[in-house]
Amino acid sequence: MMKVAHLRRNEYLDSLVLMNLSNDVSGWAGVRQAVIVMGTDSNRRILDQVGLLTGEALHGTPRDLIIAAELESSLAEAEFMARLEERMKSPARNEPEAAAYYQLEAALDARPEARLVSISLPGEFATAPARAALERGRHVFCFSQHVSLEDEIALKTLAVERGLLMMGPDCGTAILDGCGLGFANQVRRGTIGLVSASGSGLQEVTTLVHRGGGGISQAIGVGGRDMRDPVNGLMAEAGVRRLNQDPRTRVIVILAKSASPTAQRRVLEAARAGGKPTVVDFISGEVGDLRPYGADSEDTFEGCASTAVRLAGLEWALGNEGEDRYVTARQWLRRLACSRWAVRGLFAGGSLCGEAAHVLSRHGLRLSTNLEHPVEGRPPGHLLLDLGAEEYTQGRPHPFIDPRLRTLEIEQAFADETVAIVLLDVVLGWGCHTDPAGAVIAALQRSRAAHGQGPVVVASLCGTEEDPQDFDRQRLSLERAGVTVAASNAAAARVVAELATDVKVNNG
Amino acid sequence: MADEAHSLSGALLLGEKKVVVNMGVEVFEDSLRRQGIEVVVVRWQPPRELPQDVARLLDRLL
Repeated sequence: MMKVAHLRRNEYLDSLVLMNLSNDVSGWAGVRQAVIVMGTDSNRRILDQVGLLTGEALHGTPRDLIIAAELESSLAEAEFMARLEERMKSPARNEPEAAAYYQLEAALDARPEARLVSISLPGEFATAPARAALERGRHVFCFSQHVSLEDEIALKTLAVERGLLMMGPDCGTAILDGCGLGFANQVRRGTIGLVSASGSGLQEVTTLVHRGGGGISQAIGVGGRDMRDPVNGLMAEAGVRRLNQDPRTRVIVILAKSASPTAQRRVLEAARAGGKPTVVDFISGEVGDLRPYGADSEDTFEGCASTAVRLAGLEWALGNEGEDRYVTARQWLRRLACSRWAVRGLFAGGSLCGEAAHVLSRHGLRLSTNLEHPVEGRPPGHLLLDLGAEEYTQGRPHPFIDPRLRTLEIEQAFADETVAIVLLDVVLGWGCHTDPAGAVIAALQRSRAAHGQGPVVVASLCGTEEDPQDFDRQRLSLERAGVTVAASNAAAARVVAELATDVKVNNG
Repeated sequence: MADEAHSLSGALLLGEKKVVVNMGVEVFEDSLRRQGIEVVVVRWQPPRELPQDVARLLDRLL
């Protein structure tokens, strides 16, 4: 066995291209494992975890490409590198590139009918093209994280002046005129409009509205920081005003994590001016007095979805799962070793993690999370991790696309003798992994092979039957692997809260 | 009335032709195409990091 570590200075490849390359190369005969990544801190942490942070890889910077692998003695390093060179030369894309430009300005001048620019570059490079697009009268959807707050405020101010939408930075998803951007689900068109500073919240509400019998007019994402100080709802207000003008929208839903009082007042005043029924979920944050605004307040996404569907004049069609579905989980729990008592939440969606933390806290569980600050190591007790947080995603794909980080975390949770319940979110939709349930199941199989039956696993599945991954097939395969699948993220958290109480009773 | 509302909001944000410019992650291009959206691709590479002495010289000149 031999470890290989090469560094290529100033060579850049998109994190998804690298993920596919790593997966492909890891399957070659003679390769025990291979990780090919940009040299960001989070990637170097992962290399360290899997024992590949050696030699040149130690000195990688975010601008450098790191090739790290562990080879069997049957494959010589030179041969491996030669094959890799060939693989990297082969075209990454199968489709002809009829409409590719190398400058945004040229593309916008040539294609005046393109009304929106979607930007998912590394954050430090996202501001300039966003500004160029706004100056040329285009809406911007900006998926990139790590853009400065000063730039965010300047871009959003420019957008408001021009009557445009600046969705993001850090905007995970939007559904505009029926078209899903970023990580969006395929949902029915209808009369419920959303403005959301929470990407996974937008996905959860739009899919629950769809499954509950309603439909979506527009779902405008504004980025995770929009409703916080100092941005204070600059774009959320503009989004609500758009929905006020949209004749299709009859009900408005506003979602935000930790919204500042200024932002709450701003969006609620805009909604009141439009006179359309409004539902808000200021996820786990302090909520001001909503009575003067006539808005409904909910503290779960399912509550938001069901209220919005009813306000749209429809019947809520999504029933609650019966308690009997959780009997198997309870029986499993009784067979666990007494040392296992803690909950470990491993989330791909930040707001889904936030919502679960809120539900579990309300049931009296004391938790650690990384929702406000990164956690050091693995603190003992109940722990909920948002694996899409910035400390994990710099220079690597989001966990909605790349399941490798969660796979490692699931294995760690099984190895940890105190963990009794693992709580997961499985998120479907455009842009997401093609088989997220399959990735979870593979991780569970490996973990069970190494550590025995291990913790009870409870999951929620965010998606619709029209998503490319097929909701029912994903649910069935999870259930066959012994996972308890709840009807929503909040429902999964409630099940876990009850199971955690059972553990406490069982362990005396 | 319903049809009128539909045609108005159908083109509210993306325009009648529904063309989107994508700059960055390729999987988003594919998702848009699979939804029937025309995608205009802008290919991007990060600017090369200049050796410090060259950068300093350029700063002075510009």
